[in-house]
Amino acid sequence: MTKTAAQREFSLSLLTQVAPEEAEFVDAYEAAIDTATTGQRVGTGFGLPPELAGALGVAVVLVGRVVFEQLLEWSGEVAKKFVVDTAVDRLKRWTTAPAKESLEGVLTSAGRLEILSIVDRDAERVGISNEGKKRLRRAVIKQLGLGA
Amino acid sequence: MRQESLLRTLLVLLLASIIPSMLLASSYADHLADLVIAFGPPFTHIFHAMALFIVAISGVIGLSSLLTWRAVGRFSKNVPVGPTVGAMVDEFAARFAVRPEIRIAGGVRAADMTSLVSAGRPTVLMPASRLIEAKTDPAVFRFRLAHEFTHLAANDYRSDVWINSAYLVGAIFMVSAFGRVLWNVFEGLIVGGRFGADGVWFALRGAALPLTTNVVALGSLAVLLFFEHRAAMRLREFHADAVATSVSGANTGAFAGMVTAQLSGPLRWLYGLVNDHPDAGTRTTALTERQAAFRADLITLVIQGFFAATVVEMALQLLLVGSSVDISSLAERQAYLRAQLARYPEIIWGIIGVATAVCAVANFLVIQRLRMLQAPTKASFATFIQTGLLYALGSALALLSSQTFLWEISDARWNVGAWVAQDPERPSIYLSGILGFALAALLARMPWTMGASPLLTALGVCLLPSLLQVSMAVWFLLPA
Repeated sequence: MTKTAAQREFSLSLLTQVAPEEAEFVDAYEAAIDTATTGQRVGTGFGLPPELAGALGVAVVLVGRVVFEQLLEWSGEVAKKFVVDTAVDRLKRWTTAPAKESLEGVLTSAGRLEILSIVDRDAERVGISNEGKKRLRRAVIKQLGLGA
Repeated sequence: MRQESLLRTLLVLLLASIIPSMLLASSYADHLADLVIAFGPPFTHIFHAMALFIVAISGVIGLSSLLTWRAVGRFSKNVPVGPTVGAMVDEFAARFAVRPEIRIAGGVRAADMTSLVSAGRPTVLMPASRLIEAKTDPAVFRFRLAHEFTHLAANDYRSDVWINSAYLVGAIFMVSAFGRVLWNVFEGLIVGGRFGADGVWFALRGAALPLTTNVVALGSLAVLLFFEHRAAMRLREFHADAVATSVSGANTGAFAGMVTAQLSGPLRWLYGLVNDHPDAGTRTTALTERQAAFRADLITLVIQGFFAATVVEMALQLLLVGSSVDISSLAERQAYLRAQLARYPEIIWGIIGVATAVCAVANFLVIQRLRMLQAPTKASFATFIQTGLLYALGSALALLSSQTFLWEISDARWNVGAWVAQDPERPSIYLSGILGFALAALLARMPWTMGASPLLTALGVCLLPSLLQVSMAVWFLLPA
């Protein structure tokens, strides 16, 4: 599986848990993130409803991408602080098939904290609701097996 | 609404192309005469100015298309939008006979969908963060999507590109024409400077009126063309809302989140003039009350009155180009026009014919608007008076912004009686136009015309003001 496909698979798994009704839009969200620029606005005819600032589904896919990129980076370099020495190969296998592998026991405490801080920081940055942040955090913990 | 929008687009394109071209031609007659094709006087410079306009607008439209293609190209296409949105797109593509490309645009924070044409392909830019509305509020999403499909089916984007390009080239031409005026003033100051401070002061005093008249004339035309374009854009939004309503049902929720200016009084009125979308309140009302769309922009009546009178003024200046009022008597103008008619009958009657046709279009727009606003009740008489007065106001503004009028009235030391004695044909033609319009508007409300087809109304009623004006012009300038 290519890295792009693996990242999409991971984002879709998060989206399915956090906002299952938005799962069909995962490809659109990925495309939007690829081309989005800060503060970009499209059209003015109907205005921006406040409740859509920080739309949950797009935010989940964005956070999923950032987390995946971070784990991919750790799999490629010596990251002793974040990855257990003997689990690097498992991490590499996870980056090629996230749905089939678990990261239980792969990350150190510092690694788990770092991943969760990324989730919290980016969720805050994109402005999703507190309930959305909690659901996203739970989904990441469950999907990556960080609870163990 | 669609018919009015088309006619207004045509009228604006004509005005935005003809008037600036004529201004450029008169300012640079020597440079433009026989520029490419040497077919001689009397209107070779106008022909070349218009040819230059066509070339320039073609270039601007081409550049605009290229820039749009580049801007849109960075948004992903052929991205699956999911079965929910996909089904809506397929449904509307079949109903509107338009299959747009759906491109996902926007990141986490984005506004709303918009439609345009890129590389000849109708396109809808859809913000990713708004896709979920197709599930959370499907009625609103369908309404907004149908609204964009209507714009594409009605070619609204292309109309705007053409008009904006015409405005840009027209503005460049007008600035160039004004630049010539400034150059002439500068030359006058140089000459005056040879005679010291008194000479400079004399030159400045002499330049004050031409500078003022040019600023007033060009400025008022530019401002009113801008207001007309914005008013026409707002009408197209009403049209898109009306079609979306017929396709997906009325949905006031579609405007619930609109940003409405927190303004009041004159600022709110000005905001309503310059915005390209109507305010949410009026759009909501117009969903169920069609007349609301036509009541919203009564400024268009002033604008059409201005345009019709401006065309009359331009025609008079063209017909008497070599015999203006400040250097000739009425008898001399009559002799001049008779000679021009004998020498160039096709051109003279062509000018009168084109001016009559353009005025008829402007009058048709106003009278059709009047018929939309009217209900056969007593209360509608007030609207009839209001319409006539607004149209007359536009005509008066055109006269007041006319360089020729300002020159003549200043020569007559701002004495209206003296001006009428000196130039009887001009006020008579304008007055006959206003009275003719009032009569045409009255006839258009009669039962036998209210049920008539728009074409019959155009032929039988809207030509009436122009025919009266032509009759008055012939009576004064070509007496038997």
